[in-house]
Amino acid sequence: MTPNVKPLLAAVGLALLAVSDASAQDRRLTTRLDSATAAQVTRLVDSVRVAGLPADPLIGVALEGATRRASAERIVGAVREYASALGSARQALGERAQSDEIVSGAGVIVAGVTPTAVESMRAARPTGLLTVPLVVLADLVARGVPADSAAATVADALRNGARDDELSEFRRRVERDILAGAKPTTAMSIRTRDLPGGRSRGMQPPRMPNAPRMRRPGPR
Amino acid sequence: MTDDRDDRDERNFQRAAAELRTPSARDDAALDDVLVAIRGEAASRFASDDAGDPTGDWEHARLRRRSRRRGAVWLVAGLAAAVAFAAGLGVGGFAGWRLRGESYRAAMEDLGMRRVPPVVPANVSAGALGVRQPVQFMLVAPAASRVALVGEFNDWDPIATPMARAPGGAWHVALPLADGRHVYAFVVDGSAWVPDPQAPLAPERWFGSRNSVMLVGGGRTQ
Repeated sequence: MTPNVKPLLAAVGLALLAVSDASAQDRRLTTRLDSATAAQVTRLVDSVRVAGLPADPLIGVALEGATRRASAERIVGAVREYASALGSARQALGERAQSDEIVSGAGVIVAGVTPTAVESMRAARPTGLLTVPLVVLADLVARGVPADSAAATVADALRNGARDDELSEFRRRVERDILAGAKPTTAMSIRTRDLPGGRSRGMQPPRMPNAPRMRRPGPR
Repeated sequence: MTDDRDDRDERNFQRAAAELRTPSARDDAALDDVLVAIRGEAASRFASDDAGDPTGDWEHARLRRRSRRRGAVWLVAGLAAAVAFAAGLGVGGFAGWRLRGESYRAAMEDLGMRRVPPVVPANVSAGALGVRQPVQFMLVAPAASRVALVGEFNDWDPIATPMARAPGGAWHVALPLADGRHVYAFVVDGSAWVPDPQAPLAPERWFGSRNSVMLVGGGRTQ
């Protein structure tokens, strides 16, 4: 076998593998969706795969819609919106972004965070993974924090060197405060003080109603 | 001098207030120990299963070791029941799984403060070794007659992953998951979708109620 034939055979093998994989995924769709909807979803999935983007989440959305008995229009609309967001997320996160980063980025973009804000997060952490910060941002937005201020807070924290575990703890505390009755924006602003570099940014905690006020005696 | 004393008083006051605001820190630590024990037990069981399977195919190994895994499930069930009672979420804690006012919210908050971190630390991940990491899912729903776990990992099939009920109304299941991002929810009584109160919410909201997100392996992509 000549050396020139080997790469060709390898390429054909990879193509066959890709085709067989796509067929399997099509079967998943065709068993749960009507044929027209499955065909539309499959076209979107194929286009995303050709673009080198993670396609499995699109299939997941379609299957979730089928389980929840959503209409065909709604399923196709969700898959189309997600596919578009995946492209925007990769553009914002860079060509070297990993698939979980891209999927998480697409999620926050769908939730209302601008691709520019995602870009600023990448700029704040140019080399490390952004999956956890994006999950934290998504949770803040889902709990009612305005997307722009949540994104700015997370980006600031990243610029100040916040680690993933610090961001996860921050999210947990904000969630706890919201469940206890705090307004989402207030909860985030107060808990921002616990993040690196956050003491100068966050709001001061409200004084407890029954707490004794410290009197500063002056000259009499 | 006076300013120094004021500052010191203020610091002491803030420290005391912080202590008072921290609920049952010792309980948290004890419960964390129990949860670590559960996860450690499950991890060692799954790891030993995979180690004995030269193909590395977990599904194949699962079929051959069903009886041993059933024992592990019962062990996890027992420990989960103990955890539920230890956390004060036993019978009568609240009336049902639906949002019914302060008692449920307090119970959920209580559960939230005593939980396995939804972002599993990278240093406990076995994904790099080719071993899927067992993840414990739990939902407190005493009034439910059945609860299932659905997610991308089981193609959102509400029949694929039923959860077991422990005394006290804590439903649980352990599932081996690869490193990465997983979106999931609980289906209560076959129709109501409930996000995991212990995990971050998923941003996507395509079809009604929100789902939850779990990062296995600290957010690394496999």
